[in-house]
Amino acid sequence: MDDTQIMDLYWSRNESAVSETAAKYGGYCYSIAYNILTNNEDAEESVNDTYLAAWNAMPPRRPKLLSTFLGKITRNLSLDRWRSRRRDKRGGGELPLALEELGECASGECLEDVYARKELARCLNRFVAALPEPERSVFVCRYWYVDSLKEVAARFGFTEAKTATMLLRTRKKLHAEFEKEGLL
Amino acid sequence: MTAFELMEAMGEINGTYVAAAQRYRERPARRRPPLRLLLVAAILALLLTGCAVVYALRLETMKVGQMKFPQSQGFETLASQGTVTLDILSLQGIQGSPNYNAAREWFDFQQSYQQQLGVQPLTEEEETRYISYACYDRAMADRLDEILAKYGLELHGEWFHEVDMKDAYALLEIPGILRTEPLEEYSGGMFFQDGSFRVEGAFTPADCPWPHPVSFSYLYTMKHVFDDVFQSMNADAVVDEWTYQTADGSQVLLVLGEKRAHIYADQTEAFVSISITNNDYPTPFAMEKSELEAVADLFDFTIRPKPLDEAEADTARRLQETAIQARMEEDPMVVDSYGAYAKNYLSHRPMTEPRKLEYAVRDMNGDGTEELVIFYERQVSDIVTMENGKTRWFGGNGRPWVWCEGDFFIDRFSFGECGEDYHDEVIIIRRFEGIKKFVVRQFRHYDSVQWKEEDPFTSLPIADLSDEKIEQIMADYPPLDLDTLNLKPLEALANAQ
Repeated sequence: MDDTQIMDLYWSRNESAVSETAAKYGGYCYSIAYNILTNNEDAEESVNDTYLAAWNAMPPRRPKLLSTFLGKITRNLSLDRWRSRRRDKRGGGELPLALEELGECASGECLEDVYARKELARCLNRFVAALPEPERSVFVCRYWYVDSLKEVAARFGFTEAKTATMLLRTRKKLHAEFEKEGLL
Repeated sequence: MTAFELMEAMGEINGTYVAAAQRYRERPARRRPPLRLLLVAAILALLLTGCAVVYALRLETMKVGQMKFPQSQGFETLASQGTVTLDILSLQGIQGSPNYNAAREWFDFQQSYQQQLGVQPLTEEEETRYISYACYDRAMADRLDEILAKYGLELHGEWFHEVDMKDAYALLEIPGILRTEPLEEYSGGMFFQDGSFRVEGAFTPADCPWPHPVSFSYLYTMKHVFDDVFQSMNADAVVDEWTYQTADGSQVLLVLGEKRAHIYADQTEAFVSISITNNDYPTPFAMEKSELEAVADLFDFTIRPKPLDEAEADTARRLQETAIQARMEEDPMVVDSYGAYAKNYLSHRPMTEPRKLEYAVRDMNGDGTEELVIFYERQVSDIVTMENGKTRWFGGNGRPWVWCEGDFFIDRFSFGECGEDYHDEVIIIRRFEGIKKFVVRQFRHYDSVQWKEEDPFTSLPIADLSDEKIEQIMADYPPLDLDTLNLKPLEALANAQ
């Protein structure tokens, strides 16, 4: 079933929308959640919550890319779940490692308000948009999908050393961009 | 902002980039992109004096072909806004040279090559032999060998990618790549037994008209070998190019573009390409010609790296092994017993109910070593073996597998490729030989309409199957009776440590 048909099911409040979404994107959402939460039970919960959120969001939403719409919901839910349940800073999985890496680009202090967060998102979008391939997709795989360095290297056919180098350089550029924009 | 806020902000990036990255994630891990595009490098115009034929090195004389890519722009645009045309340049030589001719034939072959059913994969020995090339089956390897034989070129020898570049320079018998001693940060590098090497890094020049840190990507390629790394350049880009004599008396070609600068040296025995990026990214490069000349003066174009003899290659192998061992020792999942592995496994999963994790030990591949198989809710999650006294993970991928009789493993999942209008269910039946897993059979339910069996190597469809036939095939792989495995709580294994 194509995305348009799936979204039509949501809009017509046909409950098979959820099963069709699960059939087509369940694995995709699960992989996002598992990367962050690193256990099957919590990942499944995030995916189930994604279906509920999608049901509540459509209508009125009608996303252009259903996959990324769902993926973003799963990612946000998983991050929230991770943050609320983590017991210490160094929990398992890739997320703590990825956060440590991104810490190189951050100031360490919380953003003051919603406006600052929006400005951060806009700046980040401009930065990612300007990255060449494959640096952009490597960056997204590591920090959006929270894939491990090994997985990213394998998918792109790079060595882990080259992948780490590429990410390091991109983080340095991002840090410079934040400095320039006064976000640090 | 905090790192977590930054991580959350990543969630707001344009969905097209997320979708684009997903395409890479769905690639088989063994494959490489058909063409590896370099960061932009400069082109050097070199006049060979005293020769019967004089080659003029310019961008145009290095061009081996073109490629077109879709170009997406803007935050809200989803469809491509047309295409961008890239000139593909050889970084080994110019028109008329054997290196250029070989590069052009290889590029043309890569552009036209389509895997066919029945094509043979490379053996393990061949994978090592062709490891530094975009070459992943026998047909490609055969064609590459033909081209090299035609132009009298060799394959790259063994490569070393985890050795500190200072040690690499010592083995290559060169002082480094810079003439002076500004701070040089090594981000990473690699070198070959044949003397070719690559390094990426950054340094801050002292007393230089260019006031910013210099981020560079440097390639030194020996001309007696073939290297299949090409350079791409936007065909519509407006660039300045000119020849320049550096402070050490070398002729180089400088190319100044909007966002990058390039320095090329075409020498008798090697080709050097250096790309310089501006750290005030992503604003335009804003480098003046005199500043690029000053940066070019910082590099040493008189170095002549020496191929490694066997004793030196052995030293490089030991250095690499030491570096790999050091990295592994930092990995908490590389330990000396399954008990320690179980302990660390559990500690990395504090939110998983321990009662859902069980294990069995069993020699999966008849090599006399029992493997540790970890189950989550009675489905295989991870498979670990012992190698040289250390644990080594080799099975599982985040989706639980069903363990079937005969030691087959079924991985069944659904996905829809992002941005495409179809939905597939996939069934992959795997088994292990040693620590390598291979696909026994592979099926895909195309668009929920037609089951097809696919060739495990190429993923090309080979037969249409009815729903009933699929069910019959699945019945040939009944799930293993897990009671025969004597599953125990993983926690017990960890606590026994």
